[in-house]
Parts: sequence; structure tokens; C-alpha cells
Amino acid sequence: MFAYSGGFRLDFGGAVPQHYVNVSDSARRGEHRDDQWIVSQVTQVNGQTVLSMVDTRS
Amino acid sequence: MSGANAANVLLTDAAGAPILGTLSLSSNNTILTFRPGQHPALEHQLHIQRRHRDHRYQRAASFGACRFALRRPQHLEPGAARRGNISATIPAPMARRRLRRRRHRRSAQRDHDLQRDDRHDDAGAGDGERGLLGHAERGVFDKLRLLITERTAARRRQDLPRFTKVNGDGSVSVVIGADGGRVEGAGGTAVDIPAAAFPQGAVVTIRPVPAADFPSR
Repeated sequence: MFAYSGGFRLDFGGAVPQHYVNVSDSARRGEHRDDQWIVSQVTQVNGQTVLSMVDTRS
Repeated sequence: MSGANAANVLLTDAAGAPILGTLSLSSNNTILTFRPGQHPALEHQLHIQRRHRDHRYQRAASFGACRFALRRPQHLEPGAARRGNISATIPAPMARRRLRRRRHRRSAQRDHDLQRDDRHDDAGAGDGERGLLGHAERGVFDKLRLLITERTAARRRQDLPRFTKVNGDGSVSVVIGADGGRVEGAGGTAVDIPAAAFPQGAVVTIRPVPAADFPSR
């Protein structure tokens, strides 16, 4: 069971990054370093809003 | 404290050299104020050369010498301006950007000129009202430097931070050049962009999304 830990919207002004960029967010109260996180992108597939997993978080 | 006067209170630097100045005592004799007449040193030694009575408890106070350190006030610190003291807005295409500086005590002692990094052409000048340094018609990816000219005619260049803008929705926009950089948003969010990720540069905006705005279905 995963809970929402945090999110953000990124805008590159139309440019496409040529290399991976790293995103970060501050830890929330009650989170522990042994917990597991999944970084997902909100996207649309066949009209459905889905989460596309893009990375793990450490 | 009672009986305090300039004759029995002496302030010296770490080497023991007296620091001349004026001495004043509050009306209830509880606060002693010494204003040095010269540039204060960082290390001091205070000498109380006579016996005084503690005014509140009416008992003999200790006398002798004590050492203390003084943190140099920022407005006397030579060198770079304080971080965050100068900001530059992101200019719209073909628009003028504004450079602002928070009011600062040393502003009366210095003149400022705005320069672009590559051509070193003065673009704006002067200590305007409300800390406005000047306008410049420049590209969004230009690197700016502030040329600070002291009254002594000494000149020093200082790099300005990247153009940054806090938008109305709480998002933060930062101009990132080919050398990359870090954009820090609200709530501890950040994005690190490596060099060459945007060879032509980009305006990167980050906005935190609270749980209430997260699409749940």
C-alpha cells in the first residue's frame, strides 16, 4: 500500500532535456529511510489517467 | 552598576591596544554602551578598573577583565554582497529586465553598474528609488555581473544569480543555461539539471502538487 508522499509539476518551456534530470523532495513526517518510494508520472492512456512508473527514490 | 565612567572602563583589542570611543550609561545604570570611535576589531578585552556595586542586588560586583568576540556587522564586511540581496527578473522576449536590490546600509557608499558578461557593456546604472538598480535590454540567457565601484575608485565585479521568478501560482521559474543548475521550488522540491541537458538553455519551472490536487482516478 503506497501513500501519496509528494508531487510537483515540471515545465521546461517546450525544451526537451538531452540528459536525465534528477528530482527531489523533502521527507515527510513519519517517513523512514528504509521505506520504499516510487516516482511516477501522471499520464493519459486511452482516456484514463494512469501512473507511469519512471524511477525509484532513495 | 554605579560609578561607571569613561575613566574606569577600558576596551582594548586582543593585543591590548585601547579602543577609543564614547561611553554612555542608561538612566537606571544597568546598561553600559560603548561606541568605538574606530573600526571595531573582532576580538576584544573589557577592563573594569574600579570596584562597582551591582545596582540591582546592592552587592559588590566582580571587577577585572573579560574577553569577548564581536561578530563583524554585515555592512562592514568587505567583499561580496549578501546572498539573496540582489535579484534579477526573467525578461519577456524583447522586454527589459529589472534588477533590484534590497535596501542596504552601504548603498550610499557605492555606485553600481550593470554589465553583461560577454561584452562588458554598461547597461544601466545608479542607485534608483526602492532599490531599483537599472534596466537592461538583454537576452534571457545572458550572464550578468554587477560592477561595484567604491568611493575609493576601487572596482569589483560580482556575478549575479540566475534569473529567477516566483510565479503567482507558487511555482518557481529559473533560467538554466548549458552549464546546468538546480531549481528549488516550494516545499523542499527541487530538480537538478546536468550540464548540456539544455544546450540552448531553458526556463525551468517547478510547482509542488499537494495531495488534494493529485488525480486520484
